[in-house]
Amino acid sequence: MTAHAGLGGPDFEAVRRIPLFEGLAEDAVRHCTAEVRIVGYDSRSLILSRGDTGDRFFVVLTGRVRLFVLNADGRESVIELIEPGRSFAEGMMFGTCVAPVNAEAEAGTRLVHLPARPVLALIAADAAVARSMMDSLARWQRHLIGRVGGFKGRSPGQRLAAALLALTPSETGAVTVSLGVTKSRLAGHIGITPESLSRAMARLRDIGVTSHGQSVTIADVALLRRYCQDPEPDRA
Amino acid sequence: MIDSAPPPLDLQPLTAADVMRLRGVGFFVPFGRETQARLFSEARVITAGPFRTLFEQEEPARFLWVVIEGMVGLVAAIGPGESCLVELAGPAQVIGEAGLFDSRRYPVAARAVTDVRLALIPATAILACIESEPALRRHMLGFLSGRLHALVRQISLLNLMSAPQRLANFLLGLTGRRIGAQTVTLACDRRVIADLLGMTPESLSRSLRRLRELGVRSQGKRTIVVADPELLRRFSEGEPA
Repeated sequence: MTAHAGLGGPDFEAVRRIPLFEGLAEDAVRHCTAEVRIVGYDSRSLILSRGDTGDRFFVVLTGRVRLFVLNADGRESVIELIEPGRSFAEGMMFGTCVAPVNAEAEAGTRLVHLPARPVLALIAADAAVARSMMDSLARWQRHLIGRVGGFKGRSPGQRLAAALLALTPSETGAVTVSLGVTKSRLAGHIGITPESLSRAMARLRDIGVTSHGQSVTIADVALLRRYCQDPEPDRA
Repeated sequence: MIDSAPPPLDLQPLTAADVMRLRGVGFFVPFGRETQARLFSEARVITAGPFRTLFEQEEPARFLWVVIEGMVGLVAAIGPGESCLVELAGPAQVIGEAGLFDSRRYPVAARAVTDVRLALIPATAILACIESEPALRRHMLGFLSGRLHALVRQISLLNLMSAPQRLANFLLGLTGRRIGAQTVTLACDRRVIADLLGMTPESLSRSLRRLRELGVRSQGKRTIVVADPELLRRFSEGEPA
């Protein structure tokens, strides 16, 4: 583990762009980040244990942090993966002061530890700064709601891929599935026209999906699953 | 889903029972008894039947809403004539809070899924509390931050999990973290649940059949028995069951 104080240029920019700070003027963010420490974790490290009390929150610069709870039998259940540019444990800072979950950094993760005190002092002293933070969090909520909708509002190709994947419990490898309905019924189920379904089927041929009547062969389920999530990764 | 000119919602004063329920809602605990009493005296309640629109997406937000009874669907438009269910809110859940800030408009529409009873707190009253009390600013910031984490979590579930895994995860949300066999009741129609999980009703049925081998059984339309939540958890997290 290596640690040092203060934020350099790119690290400051990353912290400035987290949803909580995004709407703030630069000097307000400087004030909030005056006492930070940057900590690098060479190996997998537990950052917070459930029930820990804390007076700080964190921003991931590189690597990844896993939030998880332990089930009754001691097994881990992952709550959320925190990617670079995102913060966690704000709830601990703003409310309870108690960590509701465990947090573990992957090897190679760099974290900014932000003490709560300057942030809370600024919020207490300046209602306008607090409102800017709330506005920014509301804007992010709107953005993320759009992304939930974005997933559900998939292209015909993705809808077909999703419908085919729903027919098999397999996660990888080759499988043959039976549609169980005619293609025009399938088109109706996934909310597209039969013509659009034919075009979608033709598109999926490129990634190894072939059909014969109601029988559809998927050469590589994992590939189809990736397509379903992101149909054009190269052009993204 | 277009209501043909529904009569305006009938706003009533809160009953003593409503006030008791609201006091127990986690969101209001930090406000303290005195501020609560002031807020609740300005609040109103409404009741509505299934499919009734409570507020529209992008409507100016005049209230913070609290579910007292029933289930409310939060729905976002995703294209012309197309929308999707973002979240189901049940008793004691607060909705519409993002509408208090930034654009001051609701980012989603809210529709009753079942018979519902909700309290409406005027946005101006909540904002006045936040303006005057630093502790409530912290509380609201914590609440909004929590919402973002919940949405990120939902997006990753939709992206990474197969349909049966998403259903398993949803059922585990209903059983909570209790161990041993659990019976859960679905508060709404299966079509609504399919929509929430980003799948067709047919895919939901197939997923339910897939989960049968993991000890999940339907009893009638609304009741599901989970014989072994731990087994289901392992499956939802991608381990070979």
